Amino acid sequence: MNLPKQVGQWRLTEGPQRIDATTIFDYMNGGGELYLGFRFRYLDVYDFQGTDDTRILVEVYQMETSDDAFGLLSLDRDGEKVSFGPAGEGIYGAGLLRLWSGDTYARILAEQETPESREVVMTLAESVCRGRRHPAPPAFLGCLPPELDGYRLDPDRVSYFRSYLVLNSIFFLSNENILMLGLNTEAITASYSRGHSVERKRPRLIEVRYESESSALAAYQSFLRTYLPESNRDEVSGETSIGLQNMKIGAGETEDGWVGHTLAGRTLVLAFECPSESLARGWVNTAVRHLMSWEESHD
Amino acid sequence: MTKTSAYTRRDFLRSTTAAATVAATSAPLLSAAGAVSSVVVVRDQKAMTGGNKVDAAIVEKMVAETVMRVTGEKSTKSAWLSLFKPTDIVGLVPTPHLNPTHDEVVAAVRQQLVEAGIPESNIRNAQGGTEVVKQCTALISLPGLKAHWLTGIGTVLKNYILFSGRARDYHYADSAKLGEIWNLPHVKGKTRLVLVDALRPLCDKGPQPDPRYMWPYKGLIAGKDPVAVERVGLEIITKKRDALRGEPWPLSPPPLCVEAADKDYHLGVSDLKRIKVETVGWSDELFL
Repeated sequence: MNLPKQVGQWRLTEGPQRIDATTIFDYMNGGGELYLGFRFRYLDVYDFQGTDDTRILVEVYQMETSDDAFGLLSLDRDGEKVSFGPAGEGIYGAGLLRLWSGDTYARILAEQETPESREVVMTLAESVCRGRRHPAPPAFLGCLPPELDGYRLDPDRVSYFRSYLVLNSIFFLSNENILMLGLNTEAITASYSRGHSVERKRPRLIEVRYESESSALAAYQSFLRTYLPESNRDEVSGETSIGLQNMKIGAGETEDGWVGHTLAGRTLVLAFECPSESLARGWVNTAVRHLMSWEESHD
Repeated sequence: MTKTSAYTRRDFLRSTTAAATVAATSAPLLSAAGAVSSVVVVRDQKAMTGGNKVDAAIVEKMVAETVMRVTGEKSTKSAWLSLFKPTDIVGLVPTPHLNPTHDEVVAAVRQQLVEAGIPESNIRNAQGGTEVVKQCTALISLPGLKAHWLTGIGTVLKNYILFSGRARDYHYADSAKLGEIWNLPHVKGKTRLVLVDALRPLCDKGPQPDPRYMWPYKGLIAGKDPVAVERVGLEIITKKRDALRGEPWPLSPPPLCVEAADKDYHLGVSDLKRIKVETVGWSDELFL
């Protein structure tokens, strides 16, 4: 990474400081779990000091895959969207730019936000992106239906992750890893809403793709046992994973609406905060149909 | 099917529904009839400049005002001496980095302790491992107010996580058990004052700083009951989040550690209706 030694009034005074999985907690305490929840390789930290005694901190996270770097950006999309052409994209707000460029995720933070510091943040971001190839978002996102019975997918509320800690920071499910998430799974959560109305409850899909059908079945059983202990044991048979016609879609009423659930091959499909049992089942059915269509095109 | 011991969203929703039912029949927060814990919130609009620079002189006055209100004493000296003896080994426990406690707050506390007669050599920075805290006879917890992506809130209860010697365990299923650290033999009963730096809190995405969610509250929150102080800080963060989004924006994960510190570890009061909050100074966007 070739960052300039001086940009505007800010001069590189320290760095890069290399942080890896063994030192990340020394650097950011519990914040490190966020990055270890994705496929993290290392972090380089650059410190720029301005002549006015303000600081710009550049953190460049090197991830194993572009999907992991995308996942970090996808956790929070509030702010101004910024494009770096074919090399990357980011979200800016109040002096902080969060950036996804291929297998790199970066945070560029100006201690004091001014027009000048903003310009320097963007210049540094261009340096991070320079010469990089920027792939498409994770293919798995293609399995999400754009609409569920009049509820439209909110693209700013779609997150990609692998860790149950990350899931809990978006949508608290359990203090234990009941979906058996891990670095070998990929998961998405998406919110759906109707028009511009302010609704407390927004249907949410969670889809998790496991390494194998057996690990998916084990996770499904874990979910039902823990989250819907009153559910019918028949809903958790291995047969549920074979084709749409034989697939059984379950539903259970919970404290915040109906939960629809099924297993489709090695993908677990869950719908939360559904207004009725029929919608819970219908939305899971829609999600599975879309998933299968995506799988056919993807394969 | 048989349910496991995991705590789920459903358990949380059941507990909050029950709590809301109780709250609907209780007195409002600031009147706090029958309160059993007290928390003081002192704010000054001039505590920080537009560039988020702290005015050390103002903060010094705020600290003095806070400790007098907490203790009910008439002077700063008598207030500190009602909490500590000159023979005490006093450990200061600030947040060391990532939205750290402002140096000006720590410096004001240290200076006022010395002026009250606590020998400077008896004042230690106790944050970190277990060695220094074992030597201390008294502690002042001085965390910065912030939300935390692993525990909901990462302020008072989490401030002692390194005293456990196994910090990472509390990132996972044990995240609700932060209160148990306060009952470890080398920690229990030592904390005489909890003083939270709420000059510029962080209401989301902690512990890493994110200026989108930081704002100049310009306050100090203090008391002798760590759970009550945490609960008041949590209320401020929650109300700020709702104001930012214009709709309820609950913390995720929910800060389970706060109620657990009350119900399971008996460290203090987590029910807002049983906390008397005294507010002093600047009242804009008080969130209480």
